[in-house]
Amino acid sequence: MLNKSNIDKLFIDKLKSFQASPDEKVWRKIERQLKKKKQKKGIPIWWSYSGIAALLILGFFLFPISDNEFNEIENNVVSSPKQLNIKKELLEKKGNRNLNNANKIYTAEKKIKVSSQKENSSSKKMTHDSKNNFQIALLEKNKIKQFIQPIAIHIENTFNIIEPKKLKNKTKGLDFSKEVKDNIAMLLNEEKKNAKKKKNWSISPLIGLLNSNSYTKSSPVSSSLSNSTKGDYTYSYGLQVSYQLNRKYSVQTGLHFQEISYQNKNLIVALSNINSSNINFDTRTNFDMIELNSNVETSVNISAANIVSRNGNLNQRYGYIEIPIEIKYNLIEKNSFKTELIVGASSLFLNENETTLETESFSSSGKMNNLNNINFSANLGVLFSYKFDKKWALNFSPMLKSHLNTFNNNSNGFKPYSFGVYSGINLNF
Amino acid sequence: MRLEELIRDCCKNKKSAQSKVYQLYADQLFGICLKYSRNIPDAEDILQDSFLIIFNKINQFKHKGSFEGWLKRIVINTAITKYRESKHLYFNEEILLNKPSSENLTIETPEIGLDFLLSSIQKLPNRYRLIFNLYVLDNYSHRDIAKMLNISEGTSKSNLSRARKILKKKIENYSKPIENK
Repeated sequence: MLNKSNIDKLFIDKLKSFQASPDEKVWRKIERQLKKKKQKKGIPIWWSYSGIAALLILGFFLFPISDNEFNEIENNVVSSPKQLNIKKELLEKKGNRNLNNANKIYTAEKKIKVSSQKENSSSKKMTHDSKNNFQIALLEKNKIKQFIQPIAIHIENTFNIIEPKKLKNKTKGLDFSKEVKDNIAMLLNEEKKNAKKKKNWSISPLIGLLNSNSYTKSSPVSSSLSNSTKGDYTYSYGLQVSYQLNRKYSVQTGLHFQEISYQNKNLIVALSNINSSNINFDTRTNFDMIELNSNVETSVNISAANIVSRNGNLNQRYGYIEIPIEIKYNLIEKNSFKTELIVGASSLFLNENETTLETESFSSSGKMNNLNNINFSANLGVLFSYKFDKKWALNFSPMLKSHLNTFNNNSNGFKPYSFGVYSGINLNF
Repeated sequence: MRLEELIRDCCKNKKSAQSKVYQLYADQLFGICLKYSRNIPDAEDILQDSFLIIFNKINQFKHKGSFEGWLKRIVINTAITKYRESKHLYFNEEILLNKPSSENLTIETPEIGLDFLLSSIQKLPNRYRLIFNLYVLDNYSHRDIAKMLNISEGTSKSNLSRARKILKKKIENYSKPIENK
């Protein structure tokens, strides 16, 4: 009966000390491999010298790169994914291929730089033919990915810059191992993904502090107030949307609420029968307003009897819904800081118009009657932004906005502008 | 030449020493290769790879324990590396297992040839073959086998019993014709 131990015993008896003579070819194969190894060991010493020499020469070619595309490569410093780490070490030696001559390969943004080498005729040990033999080390971000078929360095003309999409064509017909083919395919895929991932849009809530003023010394209210008009500080808030066209240009638009405000202080206020100012007061009263210290005779006819206050304040407030359209030009971009020039125009839609006259005894509100409902401004400014994330950035922009169509004809030559400082947080997607 | 000198010369990559070591141990190691492999070509590959590893690592041999044992370990490890991955059961096995077991059969002791036994082992599914060899012929414990093959002890035990079942069926089928005479 065959049970467990019987079976075991059967096999043990017959097979435990089993020996057999292998065919002679086995030893011959072993001998051959041992010979190969022995020969290989003899090479490295003087090859490594030539390797180092070649590296140094390569270095000469590499570092004075003035090519625009490679401006971002700084010596041995990687400070952003766009930049590279230029490693000076030899690439790892692999297996039974002679990899003593290292190549330096870079990826810079979307370009893969490949060092192509031709066979040095003094290398007797090389058995592959030189035509089309490529040495490709594919650097993925900062890691050395794969290395194949190295040959001696040919000093002149060692650079080929190959864009990833052309890599496939350039390497067609070359016999690579599956591993390298996979790596190439993977790199090409990553290129595609990166292109898709690019964040062109950005949205940013914005708050601005504005100061209003005029290019001319006058007043839209009345010519009698020319010297006393002072701009106030006001706010603007809104949402900005920006789209990146290319590395240098982007466009932006948005929706903002903007306020402009002017003040005239220390006014002599008198009642009047006729409306000599451009204000329509709600109470349908008419006031004459004159600046203190002005030449009373020149402007308005006031009789002392009608004076109601010698210390009046007039405050004008206009509010607009602003829709800007602007172009941004990238002046400087370094590390995460970006400086852009902004030029554009805004459409302004009047949505607030309030003027208040205040004295010790009363206050009266009204509206400016010479304001246009639709206004435009010419905008000029600079945008400073700091990118602290792939998605987020802080921005800060001083801007000058000249209003072009604030008033109808009746404005005494008042040319308002606002100078504001805006800041916000950008979300990129 | 004493073994120590021989080993030292191998460390220096002396061809004559390497050749001598091969002469001394090839037959024994090839026997092991055959038991662990599926066929002769596989066995030859394992022998070749093993010797290359042996000559490569001979300077790591610390003279602790027997040289022969060290050589065997290398061969076994090479075989395991080659066959460890295989997970598939051979189709034959399923069929064999479904046949009713004939426990009551008394077998007259026919001379079951060494060739037949060897080929039965070689036809086992890879993992079963490894485990049968390791446990029955080379006396490794289930615990060690589990570590070497990266499986659980339970798997090792159940694989062994299945291996035995298959071998038993094979032997029974081999013996039957004799019985019917």
